[in-house]
Amino acid sequence: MTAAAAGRDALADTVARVAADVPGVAFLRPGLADLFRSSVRTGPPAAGGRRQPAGVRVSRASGSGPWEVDVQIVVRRDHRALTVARAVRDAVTGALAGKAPGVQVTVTVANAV
Amino acid sequence: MAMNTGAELPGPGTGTGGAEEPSDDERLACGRLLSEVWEAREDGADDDPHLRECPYCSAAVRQLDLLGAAVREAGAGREPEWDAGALTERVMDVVRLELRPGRPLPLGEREEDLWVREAMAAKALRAAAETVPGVRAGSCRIRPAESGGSPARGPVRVRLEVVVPLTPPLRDLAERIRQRVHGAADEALGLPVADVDVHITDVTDPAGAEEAQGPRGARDTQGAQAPQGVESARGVQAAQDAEEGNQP
Amino acid sequence: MPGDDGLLAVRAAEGDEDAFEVLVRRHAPGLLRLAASMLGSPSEAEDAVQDAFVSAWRRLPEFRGQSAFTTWMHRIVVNRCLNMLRSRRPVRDLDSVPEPEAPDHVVSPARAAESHAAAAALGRSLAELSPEQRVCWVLRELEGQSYETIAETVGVSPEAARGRVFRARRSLTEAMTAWR
Repeated sequence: MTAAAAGRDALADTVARVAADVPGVAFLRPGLADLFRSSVRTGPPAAGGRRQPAGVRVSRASGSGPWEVDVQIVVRRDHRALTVARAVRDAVTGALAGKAPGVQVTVTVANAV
Repeated sequence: MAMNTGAELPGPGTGTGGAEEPSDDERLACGRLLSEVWEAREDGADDDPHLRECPYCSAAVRQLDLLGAAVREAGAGREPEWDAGALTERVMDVVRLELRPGRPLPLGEREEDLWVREAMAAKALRAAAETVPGVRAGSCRIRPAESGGSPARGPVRVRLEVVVPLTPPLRDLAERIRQRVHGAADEALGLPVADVDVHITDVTDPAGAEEAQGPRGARDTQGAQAPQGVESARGVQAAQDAEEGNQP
Repeated sequence: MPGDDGLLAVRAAEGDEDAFEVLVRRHAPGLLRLAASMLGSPSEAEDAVQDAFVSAWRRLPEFRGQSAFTTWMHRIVVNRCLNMLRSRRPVRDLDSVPEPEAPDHVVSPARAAESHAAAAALGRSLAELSPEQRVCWVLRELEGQSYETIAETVGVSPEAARGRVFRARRSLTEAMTAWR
């Protein structure tokens, strides 16, 4: 795994951890199956060791440009979707302030349970 | 039995008249086609006296009846214990891996980068519509109200189809639904909504809906007028659409 | 609530998987019975119906409600059963036909030995019908469908459907006669 990929995966892990902790977030997408699949972070690594947590995509247009983070969340029904989405955006932006200044965070609410 | 040989009498082509029949059909000794005799039996059109009096035809009919009896007997008590619940779970396991979340719709202000999937928003808005007693929500499509920008951040237009109990004036009912949907879009989601178009696609007998009794009980006796009521409901909707400039 | 299949189907087509679950739960028992009649095997019936529902979920966006949801589902299940029957090796040797009591659910654990044997004879001869005849016969005899409906479901003309049912009945009556 390249250093860049390792850096990206570390960012993704941070994002996933921080987002999942936000009140009102049930879990991250894609599917319910991933909720029970324990291999997201602890399972055997894919070829090349690349593995991003479910529901999180971290990318970068160029080697020196700002990071782009895409988070897909499933919210709890008794929470306002917009409130939770904003909280996730703010939490992720805050957590990455040091490692990825100027990060662009997109949050999509995929479902509610 | 002497006469259960209707099917074993002279085969096709040797019957009377030389009329053609398909090779898998059979002409009974009396000249009737087996397929026609059986069809008459099935359709209950066996008031033809020949069918009753002819030994060949009666034998053929009896064969068919015996088969029917055997089928019914074999079928009696046949139900294995179906675990439809387990099958449903297995189906839904696959379905949940292949969801169709739909397009992303804007949440919050224009300058924010927050989204909600159409399918999820539609679920919330349908649920809101169904808080109005007796209302059942169907199609719910949510589209940007303005063109340009992809994906757009501007307010959306909601098109909702509902089935409602026949409680004139339907315009008021549609308005209640509209308000509930607007409210949920804001309170439950944070989805900016420009318009909510409510299309009443059908009406139900209000006595069938789970509602409080009282005046509606009297309407039961007018059940026979329901079709007329449907027409007037559609008329109301058409008038409503025209008045409010709803898109077709 | 019966009668709202159309509503649920539209919602499911738009991605509402909860609506689809209601449809599955509601229609699974009837479709399982149908599939078991055609296939003669409860476990194969479960596979057929499960696959049919998954296929339906994927194809729902194209469905658009031209027919009733039940009609549409029915067609999917029947055609799946037809394909499964066609892919079985043809049965020529009676000995190789599995005991009708176990797999063929048309046969009941009957009370009288005679009716039990008659039912067994029926089960065996059913298994020997061509897939096309068996499917049409089940739809006519056990589901009570019109020839027009059968024709639409299976994709043939009503005359062809009528012919298949007739030929199936002939085979079955001959088997019953021989048994007696």
